[in-house]
Amino acid sequence: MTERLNRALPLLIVGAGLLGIWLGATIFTAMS
Amino acid sequence: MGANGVSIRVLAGYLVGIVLGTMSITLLFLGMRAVMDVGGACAEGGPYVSAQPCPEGVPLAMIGGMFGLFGAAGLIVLFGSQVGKGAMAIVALGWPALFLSLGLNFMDYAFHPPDTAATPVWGWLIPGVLFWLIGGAPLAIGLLAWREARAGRPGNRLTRQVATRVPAKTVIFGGATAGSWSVPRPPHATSDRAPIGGEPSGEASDLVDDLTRLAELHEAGDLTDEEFAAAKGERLAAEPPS
Repeated sequence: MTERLNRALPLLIVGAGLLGIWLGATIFTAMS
Repeated sequence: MGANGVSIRVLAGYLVGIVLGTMSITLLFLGMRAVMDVGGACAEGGPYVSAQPCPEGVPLAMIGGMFGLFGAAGLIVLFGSQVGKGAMAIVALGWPALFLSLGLNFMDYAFHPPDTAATPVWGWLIPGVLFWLIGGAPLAIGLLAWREARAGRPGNRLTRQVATRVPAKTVIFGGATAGSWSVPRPPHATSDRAPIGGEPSGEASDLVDDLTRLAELHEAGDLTDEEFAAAKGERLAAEPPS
């Protein structure tokens, strides 16, 4: 399990980053 | 998860930190564009009526983005330290990410201003160049240090300083070296992923590391010439002939 996690972590990080950008853009659009 | 592994709670906290970080940078990026659209400055509140009120929602987005950045850095360091050194080191990328993206705004407006001013608009171009330097220089130095460290080369004086202070040596995005994220490998286990860039054998890089450290102590004046020579000789003698 940990081995798989190790391998998936870079992907999870990139996914989290993209999710953050999408969230930021959505929140900004909603606020302005 | 196993005893050596990372708990879901730690991993979730770490990923929330990443989400919060990129969200904050996005808010700052878009907020800055909105302010630049109205000329580059705005003001609100206080006893006066501002000639240039801020676009709606923008002050909150910018302030939220700033505090969000600090919160994100805290989460990434707090949980990332439990995920692994390499995972935590991602926080160092926040600085270039912030300055390069905000610099991109300046550059964009310098060459494509919303009104038809003569391009380039120097008032945007100069901060743009400055921001790119502020963001790009540490990134370039960091990447150089990372490359040298991974190739097992001692690097030059500048990259050596970075490589020994930032845990980038443990590979930020490779996951190739043992312990780079979190899982301690049993000594007999071999990596199923080939190290990128052809890492030298453990002993050779250990030797280089040790000699580099000694040289630094010597340079810093913590070791006298005699002590340095003696320690270096001892370390070299300890190395099995290859």
